[in-house]
Amino acid sequence: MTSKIDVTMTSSSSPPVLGSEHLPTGTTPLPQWSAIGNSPRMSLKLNGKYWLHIALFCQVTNLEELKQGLIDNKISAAFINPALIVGIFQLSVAAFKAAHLQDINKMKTRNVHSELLYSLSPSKNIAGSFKKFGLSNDSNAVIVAVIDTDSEENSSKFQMAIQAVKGERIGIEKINDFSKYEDIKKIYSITDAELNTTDLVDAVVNKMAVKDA
Amino acid sequence: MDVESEGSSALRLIKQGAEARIYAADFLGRPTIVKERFKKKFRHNVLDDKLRHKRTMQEVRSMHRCRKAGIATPTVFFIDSNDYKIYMEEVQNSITVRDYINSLKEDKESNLRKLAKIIGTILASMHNIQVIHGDLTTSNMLLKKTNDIEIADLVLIDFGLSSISSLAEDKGVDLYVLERAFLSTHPNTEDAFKVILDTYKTFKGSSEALKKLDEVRLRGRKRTMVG
Ligand SMILES: Nc1ncnc2c1ncn2[C@@H]1O[C@H](COP(=O)(O)OP(=O)(O)O)[C@@H](O)[C@H]1O
Ligand SMILES: [Mg+2]
Repeated sequence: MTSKIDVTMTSSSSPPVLGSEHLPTGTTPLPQWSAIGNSPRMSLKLNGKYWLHIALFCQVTNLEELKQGLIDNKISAAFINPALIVGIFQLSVAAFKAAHLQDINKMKTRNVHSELLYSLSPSKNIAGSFKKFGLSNDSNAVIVAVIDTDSEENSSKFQMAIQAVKGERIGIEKINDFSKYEDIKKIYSITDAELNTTDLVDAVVNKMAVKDA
Repeated sequence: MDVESEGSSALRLIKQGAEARIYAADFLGRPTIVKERFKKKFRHNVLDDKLRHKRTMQEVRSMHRCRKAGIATPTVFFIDSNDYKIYMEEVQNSITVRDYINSLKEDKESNLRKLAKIIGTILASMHNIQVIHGDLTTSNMLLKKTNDIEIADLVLIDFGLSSISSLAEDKGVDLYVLERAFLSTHPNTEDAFKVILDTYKTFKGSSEALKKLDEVRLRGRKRTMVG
């Protein structure tokens, strides 16, 4: 039975316009913004045990050094290319999953931060996931993400990671300035039909979640 | 109300079904429904694990397949494959189609007709991508709003018994399940149900499934006659 059936959905709602309105809408109570000097940062509680600390940098000049720091285990953090990130919710869901898998000893990668990168990816190819979501020579903007039981002030992992970055720290709310929406749609295989019923960050998170199904 | 401290925030039990518990929770700032397929003590352990795993994964897979075709389903945030829990978007301010139909008063006929057209279109679209829902009832459809409803407002849920099949027979049975549930839950809605099928019929490829529906009805009737 190969007769091609053509069902056209006639929804009158137009596809969502890609942009900052795709930032999660329900996150108001959780992210705790703290502007310290001119280096705004963000931390949020993943669950009863873990925090996620995030910082955004642009004009980063020492990508190779940061890569080496990860390889040598001198830095305990995830360095993420912001091009494929649509919102904080995407990051926090990936971090939640990584922390969860760490706690039940079911990580597929070396540590909780590589697991965060892998969780962001729609693909089961680990090396490919690191390449796409990790530090990239195409971008000198970097998201620093640290999962820790310690709060921001006490997290030596986070403090060490942000001190290692040579670049300009900017407010995390600028995260969408670096999002490449067409790449995101392609990598997460998001259809325009799907965007008629849901927004981009939900489509992305859904795709991340169904990877294991 | 049962409070269980776990995950991102406490889970508040809102419904206990035969197969699954439904909790409300806050997950990373988003209102969330957690659907947990719990252990059934009378089932053999290995079989029980297999069934819970299969239904959890099938539910998520079919939801995803529907979404990609433009059929609204709740966003899945996270699957806890250890405990067979699906964390999904709580469809805000939604009511089940069942409650919606029961609430209709004035303009009942025209509202029912509009709803029926939407259901017929969505079912045709779903069968077009070979998704067989497996448990079509008016409780497994949510409406995001009750005024000026359109296709994107109808959200399909509860895909645990779903399967992928291109067989007209399976589609016919899917329709039959809905017909039985619809007409028994909502008395005197034969006309509205006919609109569902008439709308379904306008899509290419539907005639075989409708033919099978006739056959299944006949079989059903024979079976009840025999007892
Ligand atoms: N994502 C959701 N958003 C809002 N309500 C939901 C959602 N999922 C389930 N519900 C509510 O919980 C009920 C039961 O969920 P369902 O998935 O159908 O489980 P069951 O297998 O127990 O029928 C639904 O009828 C609906 O009222
Ligand atoms: Mg149900």
